[in-house]
Amino acid sequence: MTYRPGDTFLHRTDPRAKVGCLLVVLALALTTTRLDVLAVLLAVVAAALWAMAAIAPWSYARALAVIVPLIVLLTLLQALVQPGPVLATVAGVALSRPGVLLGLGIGLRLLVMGIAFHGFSVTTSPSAVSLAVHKAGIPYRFAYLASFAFRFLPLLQDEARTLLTAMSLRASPDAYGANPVPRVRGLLRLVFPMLVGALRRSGDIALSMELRGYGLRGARTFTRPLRFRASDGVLLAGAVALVAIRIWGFS
Amino acid sequence: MTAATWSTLPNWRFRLVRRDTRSVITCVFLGLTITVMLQIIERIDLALTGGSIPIIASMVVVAIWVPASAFYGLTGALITAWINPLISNLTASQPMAPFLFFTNAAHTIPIVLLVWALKPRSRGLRLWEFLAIAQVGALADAAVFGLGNHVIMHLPSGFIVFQALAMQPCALAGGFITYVMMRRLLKTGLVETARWGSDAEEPV
Repeated sequence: MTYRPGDTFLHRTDPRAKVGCLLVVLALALTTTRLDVLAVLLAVVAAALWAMAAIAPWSYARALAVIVPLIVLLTLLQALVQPGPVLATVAGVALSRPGVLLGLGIGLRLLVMGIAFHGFSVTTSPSAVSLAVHKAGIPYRFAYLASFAFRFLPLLQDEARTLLTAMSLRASPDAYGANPVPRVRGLLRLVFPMLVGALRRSGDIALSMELRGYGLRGARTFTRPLRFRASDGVLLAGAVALVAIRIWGFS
Repeated sequence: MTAATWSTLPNWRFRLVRRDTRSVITCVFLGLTITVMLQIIERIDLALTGGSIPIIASMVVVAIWVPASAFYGLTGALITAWINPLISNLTASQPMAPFLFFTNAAHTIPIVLLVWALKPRSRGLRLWEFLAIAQVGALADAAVFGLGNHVIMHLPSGFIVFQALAMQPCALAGGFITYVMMRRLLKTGLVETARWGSDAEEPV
């Protein structure tokens, strides 16, 4: 689930407007556990992503399946601890109706949040995020770190994989075994070389970045500046309208 | 390991805020390291506790967040704490990711403030000081994590208290491991050690 270049409406939208919409969706999802409200919100978010970014629900359905065990666990937990009339008895354990409804509500909430963030990540490049953070008043020196981190994440993942492979080549059972206890030991052995690698690598990279003007003071110019257009305002207004509908329509 | 190993850490130069490029970039790499580690750990925690109590994660995060906060001050604390939620948000890999900005910072910021308050210029931290600092960070993290679980997941308070208590021994074990690791890191020469004693002037 990472950025995919494209030319849809959401791809062209200013990241600040998208962050505004995300915050609205988060606020709406976090202020209720009502199943009807969350189901409508889920439908609106999924439909908006399909219409404005050509992201069809089946394209992220498999990725969202990882949340399902969490939802089942939460629903079971809530069904056991929430008081109220019994909905069903499984293996002699009574599951309360309010608990099941609350668990499903929280599950829907997580789905809404997951889909909204998926839409944002697919349509917003890390460099656009950096620019938006800079426009929000954060010095570019720190705002740039968002895209920097994304650029170097695969390198660190490769390093971890190499270290694990090296451990398994030395017949260590700690690297890829099914037993979690030796795997934890293997992980702890991984931390020190990774820390040393991070400290050693940063010196050269910092020097090369400074040579390219990373630490220079003064106003910066950008090859692709961000502009908040009328269409971005319309998108934000649509998100605010959702809040109004929630307050007056589903109160 | 001798008894001296378990007494006091070698000295290093602590500064509350670091702005030099090397420190900033190092902190990003430390943040990426914890992100990569957590990608593996989440699967182990899922196998051990169904993901309900992050016991292994609470042990391993100490090994990276504490050195980052102690060696690189607030810069290290905030960057290493926020890289993981940033990546999680931008890859939509964690529905709770927005909340991790608060929980992670709740772990690292108290550590920086306590190191700032407790570490003298002339020596490193004693073992008990170090463990106490690491534990306060873990407690603050558990408190904010519990608050998030209460607000977002509506988990019952009894479960949240149990979750927080279950994470503490793991964080303590992580503290001992981190102490040894920080000792070794300080000996590698990759961390800026104190070049000036308590009586000398700070170099310009």
